[in-house]
Amino acid sequence: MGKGLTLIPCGSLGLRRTEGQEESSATVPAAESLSESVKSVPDDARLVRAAQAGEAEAFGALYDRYLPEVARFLSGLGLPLGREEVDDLVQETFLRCYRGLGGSDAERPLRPYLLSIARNTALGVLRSRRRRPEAPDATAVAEQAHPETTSDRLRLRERARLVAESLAALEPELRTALVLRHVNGLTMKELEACLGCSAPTARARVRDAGRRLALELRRRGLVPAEACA
Amino acid sequence: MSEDTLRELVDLRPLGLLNSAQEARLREHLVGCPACRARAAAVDEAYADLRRLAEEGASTTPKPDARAALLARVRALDPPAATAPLPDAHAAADLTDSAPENPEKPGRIRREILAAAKQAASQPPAVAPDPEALGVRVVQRCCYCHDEVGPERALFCARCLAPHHDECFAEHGRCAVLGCEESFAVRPGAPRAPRPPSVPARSRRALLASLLLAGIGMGGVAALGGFAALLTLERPGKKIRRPTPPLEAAGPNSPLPRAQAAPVGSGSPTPVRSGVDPVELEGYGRRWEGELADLSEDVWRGDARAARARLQWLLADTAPHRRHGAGPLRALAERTAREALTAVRFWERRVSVESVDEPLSQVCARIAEVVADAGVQILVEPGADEPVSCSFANLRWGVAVNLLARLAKVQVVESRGRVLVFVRSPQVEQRFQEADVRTVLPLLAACGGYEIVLGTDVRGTVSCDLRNTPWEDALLLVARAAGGHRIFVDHPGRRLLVLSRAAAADPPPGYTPLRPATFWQAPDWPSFPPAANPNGPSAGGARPAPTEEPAPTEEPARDGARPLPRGK
Repeated sequence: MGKGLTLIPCGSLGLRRTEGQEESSATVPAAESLSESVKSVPDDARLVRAAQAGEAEAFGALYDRYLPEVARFLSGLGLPLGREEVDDLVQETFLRCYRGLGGSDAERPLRPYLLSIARNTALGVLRSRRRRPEAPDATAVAEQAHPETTSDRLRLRERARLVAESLAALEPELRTALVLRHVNGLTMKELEACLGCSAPTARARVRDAGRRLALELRRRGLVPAEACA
Repeated sequence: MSEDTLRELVDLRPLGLLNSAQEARLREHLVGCPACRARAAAVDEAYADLRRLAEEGASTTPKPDARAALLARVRALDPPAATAPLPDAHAAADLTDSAPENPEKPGRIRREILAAAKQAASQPPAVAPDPEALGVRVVQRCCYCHDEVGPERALFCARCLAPHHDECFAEHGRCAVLGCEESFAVRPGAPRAPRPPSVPARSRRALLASLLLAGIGMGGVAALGGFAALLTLERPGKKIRRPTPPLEAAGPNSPLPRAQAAPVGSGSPTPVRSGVDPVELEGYGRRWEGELADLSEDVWRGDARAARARLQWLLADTAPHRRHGAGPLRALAERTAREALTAVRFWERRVSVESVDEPLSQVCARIAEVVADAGVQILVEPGADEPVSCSFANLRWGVAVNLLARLAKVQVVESRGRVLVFVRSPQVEQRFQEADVRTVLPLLAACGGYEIVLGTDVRGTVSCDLRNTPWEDALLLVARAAGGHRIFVDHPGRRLLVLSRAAAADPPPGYTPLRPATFWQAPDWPSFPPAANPNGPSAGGARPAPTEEPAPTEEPARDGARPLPRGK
């Protein structure tokens, strides 16, 4: 087995998934990411080595590759920030990553490392704003995305607001774990590296986040509270 | 599979946390259960919304010139490889993470870490550039508020040495670094005075050698003395045997090693150790406290089976320490056993009440005194504070509460945090014959003080005869009888929405289904421990009664509760 393959455990490649899970739209570790992940490891390592040698364009290639991932994570958190501030957070994340490349192993997967930096950056923002919480501006996003009819827009806007409120009600640690798992599709192994804890702890954190989110959704009437007969 | 389990499986399904067996069972259940199917669809939709919001937010981030700006800043920095990785815990963590453990060679990773550390240490130390010469200003920032920390206000985490302002550390109560959670901090002290000149190395070596020789000599004398003693005491053919530890000395889950327990029936219980490790004592305290809290919760929920199992476990776990433990641990074990026995007799507490036309609130205050130590509060709403006349003698307190509610013609509801509230819930006494449901439903909603909105396709007639029925139950019954309509209530709880069965599959956001009225009822709690026949109807489960002897200094039974029989 090659060196790149040893870095990707079976669990992270979605091999444990059952048939039913592929049907749902909210899948987490996509099975098709197998070939992509295997191929991406040596490329990342090569680019990291080049960036360590001072090639800015190599780091630019890493930026191009992981920008959607980082932007998706930071946007998915529903931070109470404007677009400019989110852009600044993205920049800050990549700058910190560049500064930290010197002490890191090029063979290690870059994705969890980068997302852990983004997470720490976001946690700093969340903690500093905890005392004056603001509702995230999810409505603007809904309006931009669905301008078809007034009723659709109103309905989507209300729904997006309630979902964003539910997510914002979670503690920062739980919120980041949930977004990393659901939006970024991190496997448990990657979450372990990203959250800096053991796999059972990461799993427990995601489970707690799922429970809390369901509770918040139920409180806001997005999920029916009645149980089966 | 219980309702709670199913609900949790549905909630966690989008996160991919179910194993294949749980997936299969849930899928099988969803096929036959429309309510859970609707719930699963709603959960899926919410998670899809989350992902959509993230995707849409990411599509507008960042600005087009962000890449160029970032690369310009990167070019202005030194290449990251210029700083060699440090041979510290971070480097060790890197190696541990990247090199998978080989079970056949357990020491390989450690060897690699040491080799890397040696290699890094052998390199000449990097000369730190002078920040002033580079035009760089170096500051340290507080981990909590991210502002600059001056040396006079700096406080460092005692574990990870992260800098904080002293007021930030005090406000947060612990280190703000994620995963550290340290609650102690250190402040840099004044530089130490230079140490006095030490003893020369040669004198130190001579001193060590003399000490070593003296030690060897004393050891030899001690060994000779012990050998002589053995020759005197030991007789041929008879071996000296150590007492075997008892089998039941340590409970099944007890962390106490069996070798620490004294033999059963060996006269007076001799403490094995004269002192107790405070860390161990704290560990036992935390564990038993947690179990006691769970036991109390089981008792409040009326789950006699779970409470019995937990009581049995607690008594077994504390038994060796109650018998043979050292001072503080023994006292803790005895107190835990006493509190466990008190907790399971919570519903057996009895009250005697005599009142003639006395307000309900005053009567309840007397009952509340009996259960106040368990955190139970009994409140009476102003509209329910009726005068009652009653005479109870030695009655269980829960039964007394329900009887009082019946006498005063009010209801008891349980609020969060063990608060029982006497309320006057509107009740319906109406008779309808072939009445239009669009007329009946607003009448019933008005009983509860609610506004009501009816869907256009809510139609039908209904005939019913309702007597002393809570208005929520009456509404739900009429809606169901008139064609299976569903009733939803808005989040503040002031408006009702009635939808036909077809329209109810997609209720508007912010509305939840109206629940039937639920009033508090004291559980039918068995006496603890049960009588001789554990399989009897009052046993509350098939588990045998605890056979452990209760705490030796047990409190007398409270308010006529049955005392626990002594051990066999």
